[in-house]
Amino acid sequence: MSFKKKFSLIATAASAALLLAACGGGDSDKKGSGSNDKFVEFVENEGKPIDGEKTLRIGMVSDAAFPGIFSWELYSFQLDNQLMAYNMGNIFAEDENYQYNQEFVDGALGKLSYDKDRNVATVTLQKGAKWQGNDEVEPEEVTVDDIVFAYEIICDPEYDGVRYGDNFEKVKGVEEYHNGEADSISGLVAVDDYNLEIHFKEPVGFQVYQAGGLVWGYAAPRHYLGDIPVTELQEHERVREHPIGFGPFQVNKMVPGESVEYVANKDYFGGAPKIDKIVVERVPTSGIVAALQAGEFDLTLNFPSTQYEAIKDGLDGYTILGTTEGSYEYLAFKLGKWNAETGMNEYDPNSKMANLNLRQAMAYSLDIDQVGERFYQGLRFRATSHIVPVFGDYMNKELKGYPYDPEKAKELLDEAGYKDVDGDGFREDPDGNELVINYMARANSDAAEPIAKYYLQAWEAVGLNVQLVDGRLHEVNTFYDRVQADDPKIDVHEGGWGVGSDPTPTNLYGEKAAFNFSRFVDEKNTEFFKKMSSVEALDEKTRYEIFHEWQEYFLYDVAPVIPTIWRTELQLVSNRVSAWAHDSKAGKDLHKYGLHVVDIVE
Amino acid sequence: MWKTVVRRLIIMIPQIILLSMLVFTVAHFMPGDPFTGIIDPNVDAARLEELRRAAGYYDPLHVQYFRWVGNALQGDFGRSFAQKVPVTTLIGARAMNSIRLGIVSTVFTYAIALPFGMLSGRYNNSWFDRFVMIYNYVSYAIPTFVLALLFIYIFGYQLQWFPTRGSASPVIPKGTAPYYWDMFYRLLLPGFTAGILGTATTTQTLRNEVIDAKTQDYVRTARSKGVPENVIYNKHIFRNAFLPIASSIGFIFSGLLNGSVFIERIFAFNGMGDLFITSITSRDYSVVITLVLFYGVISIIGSLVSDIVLSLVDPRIRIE
Repeated sequence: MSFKKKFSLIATAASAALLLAACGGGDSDKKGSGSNDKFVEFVENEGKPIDGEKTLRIGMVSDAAFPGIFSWELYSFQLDNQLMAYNMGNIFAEDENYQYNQEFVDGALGKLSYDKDRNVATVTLQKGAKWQGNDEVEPEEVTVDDIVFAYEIICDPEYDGVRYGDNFEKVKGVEEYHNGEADSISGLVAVDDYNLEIHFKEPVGFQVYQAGGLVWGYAAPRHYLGDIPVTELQEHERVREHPIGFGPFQVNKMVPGESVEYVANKDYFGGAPKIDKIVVERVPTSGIVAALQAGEFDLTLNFPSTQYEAIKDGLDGYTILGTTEGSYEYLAFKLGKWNAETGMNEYDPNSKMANLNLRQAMAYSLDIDQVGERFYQGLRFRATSHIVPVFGDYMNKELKGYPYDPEKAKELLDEAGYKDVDGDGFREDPDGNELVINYMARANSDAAEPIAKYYLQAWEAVGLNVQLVDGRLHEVNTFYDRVQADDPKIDVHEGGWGVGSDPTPTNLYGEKAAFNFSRFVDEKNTEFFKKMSSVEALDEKTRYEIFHEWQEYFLYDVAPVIPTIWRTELQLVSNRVSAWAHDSKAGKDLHKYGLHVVDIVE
Repeated sequence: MWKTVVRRLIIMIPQIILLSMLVFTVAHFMPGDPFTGIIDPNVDAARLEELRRAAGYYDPLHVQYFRWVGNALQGDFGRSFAQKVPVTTLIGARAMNSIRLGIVSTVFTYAIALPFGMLSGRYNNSWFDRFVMIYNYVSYAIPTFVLALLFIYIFGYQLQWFPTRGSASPVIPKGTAPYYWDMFYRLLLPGFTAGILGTATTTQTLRNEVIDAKTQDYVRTARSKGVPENVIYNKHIFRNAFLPIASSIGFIFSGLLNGSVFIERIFAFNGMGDLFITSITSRDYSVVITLVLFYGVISIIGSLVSDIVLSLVDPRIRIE
């Protein structure tokens, strides 16, 4: 439903709630691993609408306050993203592969088309949609100039947010505008109030249609924010306290960092909502279950998996929805270095972990299924690919990942010449030298320590001497600092990525990707990434093929990074809500599950 | 006395300068930076560097320090990287919440601790005294979060007397009388919880002082002169026994502003404690530095206030 950063670090448990650019999804019956089958993704509750004022009460689980930046261009925290879903409004709708709609559909204000020959994308808006009005401003029509304004905010030389990047620089004139050399972005041409042409510098691939890809899917009200300097926007009361959007609800009242009250936007272009009010309240992790038992909420956001134990046999009056989260954890092996001067990763074929058999053996030695069951009550399970199920057809469902097979691990090691020569129980490297592998683990949850210990034991069981870097776990900031700096003490680490809505993995594994923590680069891989962004990949079938081939290649043929864990994201919905689709489910039918059609029933 | 106060205030200046240097340096030695948490691989490395450079992150530490001091002297403590507002605005809003909560919990603390301490001292070894002793041990030993969750369970959900989270109602219109009443009402449960947790020391100190004072000459004199027992306790003994507690009043005052991380988190109450922890984990330097400095300054002031209060209540003490 909303913009997601393409990827983000899964940081501490606390900041994960803040930062996770999460967006789950994936059809349970299409799923390869199937560990999520015990949950449904949709719920419908029969009943007649209640009389009187209808309020949808939402419990947003977070131990820290939300910043409350109501701007798609400026926000940085997931909590704000969630709060904006009710009032701000999106230009496009997404299908289950996170592609923007190319025809007008219910719940989308606009549609997108791309003309390959002219290399121009066109955004077309429906007529008559209005920005909400408040004490300070009258309702005004949403036009493509508001999209241009959104671009101008992000590309402004003074902009200090995180959205600006090479995706924007692909549009003509953006760099000039960002450098202060131009007064407007030449590549954005408003044909009239309802049609905007976006001219690209070079031919582009399917990312043009992808949410979080090459076209900015949001608008900002120029008539309301246009006179405020970009540097002051994010602290301005028009963004933080009295934001306006064109979504089905409108912010009415806010207790900063704690709660937001929305009222129905009767003029919503998709039709007046049936509910009168939405109240979102922040609830601490420790309080959510009691609050639900007392029936205080109709819906949860960010339900913590640590509280699952208390509700796993069900909760009276609620349906537990679950879907695979848009994130994965991985083992990454250090195989080179980042060269800051050239901005390139440099693969070192002589590094300690350069042997493919060694890496695969380490993956086969871990019983991830057990880890998920034992430590996460089955809410986490073994990942089978670098592309998460959220991405529907992009994911290669044939792949099986690295199922637990210690015998195979031993075979692989024997075959590659890792043998115990001196009889100390640990294998030496093929040259007969002592082999000690240094594993860096994050101290990001209560389970982190026992899991790390289990990993070490499992590796020891196949004869590998693996030690924790500095003999302990590391605080998350330290962890990423050292991983990013290619600390020579680290041979392998387990990290996590939150994926956004664009499946293209170039920014995580490409030769120019600073976040390619394994530093692995090879020609074939680079070739794959080129193909993924090529014009040929505009064709759906070709594109999925490229993705599927890449996944197989990256997972088995080179394996510099091996995905370990996927997560299930839960959402509880009370029986008072007439219909709901898991918030992280992409491509839901807005005609059925849209905010403006949902009702409160008894 | 005023000379002393002025002198103490002047000594504060080098103390604060030293503190600020220390805090600034230590904060920047923390691994990671504000961008470690908001890392987005969609942003190319160059863009991240651009943001870091714009934030002055690569300047030598002393350059950063003096720039910061220069701004701070003009009242500009920088902006929060995470919350995107001036640090002073952020702290101002949070401090109000913490102060309100602090006042309510202090009232509860004294409302419980003073009678408990006085009575258990007066009737020591009675059943009441034993009860107070047990209460003391329990309230001192119980972890904050356990008591907080217990109270939420009992008073919030079983008896349903109090709301369990938040500092203000999300639905009552702002600025109305019910709104302010609701705000006050929401302070009671967290305030009571924090209040109870703070009683042990005061109760114990008061009790010991009272027991001590009972055998003092001035008490015997008063008694032999026929002063009623209640007056002896409430006037003569109380004033003397209260001295050590009065000396800590300045720290209580600074404690009001510190906030309590546990209480704030469990009651979803936006205060200083929560802000402090969140800023540290997200490496929000400007907020961390300002907060530590702020805490430093109020503890220095707190100890000064304690000294002044002490000299006021005890004529034998003169600060020179």
